[in-house]
Amino acid sequence: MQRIPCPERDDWRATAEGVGFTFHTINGERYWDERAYYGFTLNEIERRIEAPTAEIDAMCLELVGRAMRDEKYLRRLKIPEAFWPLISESWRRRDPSLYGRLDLSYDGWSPAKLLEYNADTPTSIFEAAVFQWTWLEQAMERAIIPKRADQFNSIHERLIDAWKKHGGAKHLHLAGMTGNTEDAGTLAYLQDTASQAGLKTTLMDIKDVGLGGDGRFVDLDDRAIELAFKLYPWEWMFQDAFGAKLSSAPTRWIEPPWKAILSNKGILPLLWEMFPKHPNLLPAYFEDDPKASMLGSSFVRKPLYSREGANVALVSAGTTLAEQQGPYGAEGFIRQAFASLPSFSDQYPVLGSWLVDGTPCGLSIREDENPITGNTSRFLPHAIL
Amino acid sequence: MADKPNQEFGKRNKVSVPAAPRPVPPPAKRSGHVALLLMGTFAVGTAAYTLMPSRSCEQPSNAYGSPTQTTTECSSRSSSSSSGGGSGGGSSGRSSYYSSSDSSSSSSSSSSHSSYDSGSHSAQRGGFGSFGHAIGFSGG
Repeated sequence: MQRIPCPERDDWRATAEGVGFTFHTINGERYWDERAYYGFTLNEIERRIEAPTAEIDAMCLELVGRAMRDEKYLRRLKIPEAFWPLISESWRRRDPSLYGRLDLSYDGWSPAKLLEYNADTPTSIFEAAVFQWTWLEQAMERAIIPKRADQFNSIHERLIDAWKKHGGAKHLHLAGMTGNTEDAGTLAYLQDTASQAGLKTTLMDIKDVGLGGDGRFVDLDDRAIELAFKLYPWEWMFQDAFGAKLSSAPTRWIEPPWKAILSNKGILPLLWEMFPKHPNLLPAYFEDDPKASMLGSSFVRKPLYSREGANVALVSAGTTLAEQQGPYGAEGFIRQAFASLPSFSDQYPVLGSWLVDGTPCGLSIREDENPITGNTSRFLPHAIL
Repeated sequence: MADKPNQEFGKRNKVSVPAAPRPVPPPAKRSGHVALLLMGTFAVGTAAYTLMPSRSCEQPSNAYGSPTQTTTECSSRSSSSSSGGGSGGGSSGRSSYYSSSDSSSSSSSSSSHSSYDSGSHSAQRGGFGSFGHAIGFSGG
């Protein structure tokens, strides 16, 4: 794994805007950054990223299976009891997952370590699947990178295949917070992949989802929503007014309700408990677990629910070195062993390893001067050299 | 949803790790090297149409359509080969995320008016989204 400075394409902004990637710059700061890229060997990709991703995903599925047999897991995750039947039914039916992203720390030498699993509402998939690939092709054409470079990236093709497999002949509704540029972009991209798979689709804001008199969720044309992709976290749906109707409504959701388990940071201590000393896991404990003291005075403190690094604190020798502010933490915290991210040219990269339909199939990289990756961290492309 | 549940779903499977780097990339490991249809999209990048999906599909009649949602009725568009290592110059559907010059028109999905005054009045609306709109983002 290397961080390799390289020239930018002089027309990348126009290229980005031409394909709808308008959030390449956020608040005047680069989000997409191609002044450098990360180079990997094929061996690193296959043995150090792809295989561990499959292994971690398998462990996560085993955790969900256990949680479905023993409610103590759901209690520890602070998942409201009213939604346990919804979650267990979706697992029993084997409702499929479309995608997810594991965030990994990897330095090129040691085993990749799971930092967290964005299992429910991962974003940045358009730039990972499409714009990063565009960069690869143009960078090769323009001799910015070697001609024979490649990329760990079949996300796009696998999304289309997954929609074909799981969408069937159903009409797909996609709902989320369309006023948020990044979320709207993610929704539009996934809508496009579904369309390419032959599905009929409707994109709408989550607040426009209606509840009909017969207890079905409906769109703005009062069409029943049979199959819905939602870019809106399960824990928020549980809190919203229609949450109480989720169990009785026949809508099938992607991601399915059982993903509410895996999007919870509490899986980190549970995985460590189930698979102690696994090379791809970091020691982690619930904050109220006396064993948390085993981590000493240096650790990362994470709320059970958190997004974009919000309310995550980096504590070293008892002192909080860095903390992202945010609205989370009411449900409690976990502590994870402090594993300093590798530094490449004073930048801290976090690897996003993508799964589509349960298959590892792509890589994205966010880097930051700050050791906590947040929503302003820059996206850099990668290549297999 | 799949009609036939995968019996292996949820079970932990042994991960096979290759003993040594393979000389030939396995199929579907990476994308095939497919060309993107960017040329048709370069000229269109105005913010007014931000994030609209393009399509090779017909837009339904707008007579009954709602202004705050977009519906597509699409046929499958050409897609790239997924076999690894290929370097063909075929077209890919990858770029069709955004309105391209060859695509049909699409209607706006901007949601600018209250959910309560849209759609049928027979359904209750606004029951999802309050938590998220208070925070402002949902993805991660």
